[in-house]
Amino acid sequence: MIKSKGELFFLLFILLGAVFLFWETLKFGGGQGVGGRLGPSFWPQIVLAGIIIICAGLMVQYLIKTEKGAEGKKATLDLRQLRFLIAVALIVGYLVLLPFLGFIITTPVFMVAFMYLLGEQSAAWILGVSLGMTAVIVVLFTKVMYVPLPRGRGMFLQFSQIFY
Amino acid sequence: MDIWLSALQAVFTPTMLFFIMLGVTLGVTLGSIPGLNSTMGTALLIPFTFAMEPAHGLALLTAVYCGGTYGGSISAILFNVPGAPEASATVFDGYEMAKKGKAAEALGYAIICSCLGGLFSVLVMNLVSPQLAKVGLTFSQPEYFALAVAALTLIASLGGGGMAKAFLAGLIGLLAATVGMDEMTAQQRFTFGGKALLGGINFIPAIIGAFAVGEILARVEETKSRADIILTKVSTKLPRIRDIMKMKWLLLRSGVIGTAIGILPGVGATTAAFIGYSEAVRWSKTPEKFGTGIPEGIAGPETANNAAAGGAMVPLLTLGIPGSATTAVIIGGFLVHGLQPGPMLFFNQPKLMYSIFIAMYLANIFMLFAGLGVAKLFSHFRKVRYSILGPCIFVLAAVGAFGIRNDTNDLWIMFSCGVLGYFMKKYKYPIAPMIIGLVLGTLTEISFRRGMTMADYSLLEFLFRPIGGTILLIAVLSFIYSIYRNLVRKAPITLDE
Repeated sequence: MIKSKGELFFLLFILLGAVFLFWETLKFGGGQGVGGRLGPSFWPQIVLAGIIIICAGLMVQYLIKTEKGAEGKKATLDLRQLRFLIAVALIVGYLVLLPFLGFIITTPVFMVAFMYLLGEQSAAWILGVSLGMTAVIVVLFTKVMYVPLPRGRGMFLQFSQIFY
Repeated sequence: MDIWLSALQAVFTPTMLFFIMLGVTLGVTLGSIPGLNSTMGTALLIPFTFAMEPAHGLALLTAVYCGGTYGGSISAILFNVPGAPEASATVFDGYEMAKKGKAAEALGYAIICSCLGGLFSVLVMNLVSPQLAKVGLTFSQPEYFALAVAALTLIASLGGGGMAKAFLAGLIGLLAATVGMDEMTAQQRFTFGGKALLGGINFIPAIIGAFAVGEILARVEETKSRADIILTKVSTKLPRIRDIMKMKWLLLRSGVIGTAIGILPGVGATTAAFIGYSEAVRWSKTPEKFGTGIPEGIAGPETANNAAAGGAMVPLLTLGIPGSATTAVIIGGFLVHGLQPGPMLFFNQPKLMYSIFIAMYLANIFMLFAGLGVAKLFSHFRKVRYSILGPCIFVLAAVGAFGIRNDTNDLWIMFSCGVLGYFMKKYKYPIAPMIIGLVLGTLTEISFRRGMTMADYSLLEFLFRPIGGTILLIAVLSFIYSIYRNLVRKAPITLDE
């Protein structure tokens, strides 16, 4: 049972996504070819049909209930959601910059910003943990276990190569 | 009997015991760090074993394997991040117990059940290895499909009051499993012409994202910066024998399931853990409590995954076929010593074979001590406030997701699943069915399509097989019973609620 408009939008997003992907499956070839009668679109179409039916069912159920007078919670942007959006933006920024700047530069900067967002106030802790954690991961993964980490490009690559 | 005595003499030497202890400690440590696992550990150790005696080298590798399978549960319980894929199902109840301040008990159950599961599978391994391997070889696509369906019916048990939400989550997982190149036709599905999704959605970044990143994003919204989970000192608290005895049937069932699944080539400890969990839910008198943080939710998957580790050694030793990724690497350990795993090894190197059996018994017992030490080390991190711990977990999660394939696309998969997990958590959609769908999706689809092709598209021929049909019948009946029970009782059961 849907309880808020936010959840309604969440389901609508899934429903539209499922419809779009169902349309994508119609482009799959090979139904009668190598894969036999059960081609590559067979299974995804069954799964997507299930998703569409359940989403539609839940949404219709919600709309009928709200028409009967049940109040849905309004979706509003408050400080909590703003913190969430900033966190998402920070993570996106980290993931975008990681291949260009490399792990050793991006990670401590990201950690400092994220700790600040989470309310940490001790500068010593923020700097110590950010640099310490990055150093531990670099040593453990690249020196001990030989697992490569992103090095970045151009001058950042050269900088990373000093360490790993 | 002589061969057993001879093998005992070979194993109970200071050098051999040292290597077993070292291997277990390394395995538990590697398993507990996301991004590192026992497969990687055994691969890296193979060159070192070259200079050792074959028995020492192989004991070291198998000890790493045993320890690594357990190690993943430590970070799963303490930080909601499975250290290894095998520990994915342990997250469901392990972290919930930790949130309730019962991390010590959760770690205790995980270690004891891992130890018992491992010992059970080794016992089975040396008693009935050849016979079980033959049964495993009779499994064909319909049987694999039936096994996968049996595990997927768990979703109905987890749905309860919000069964539609659980099914939706399960279907999203099944859909995510279809992304990438179709195994049967090489058709690209949902890749949108790019290379990023060609290899499919790896379930480890997805699990890390849905659970760990989703949790971090949810915590960001909280105004308080201190962790709300209990910050008291956590030291592993082993369960009492009486508590273990209460779960004897669950342990036996999970042990049998894990060993049997481990024997099947290509179906490893991760699948065993999920099926172990699903069967624990199915047979429980209080299925509604699963997912809320109960010991049975840890005992089921932890017994099964460690039993699968032993089970996976059966086809390796008896037929030379690896039962899992790590055992495939261990084959390399045999080959560097000029040994070809297979039935002839029992005739040519019986002392070595029995030494490996005994080493695996000891590894599972040593795991108890190594696990206590590593868990104690990790538990110190729980005393750190979340404003410090959260970013550390995120970076560790990111490195873990990246380390699977050294691919930054996996980081985006982790992030996407993190955002999805956040909204699912917010709107009370259970995440576990989505992960179950993702893990078992490919097996379900491919075994069905291949099986139907083999049966010339005759559904009756596909379904009515002695073993597969029986498993399927049990699965369908239990599925119907789950729905009936939830509709009649209207019990409010949801995994995340």
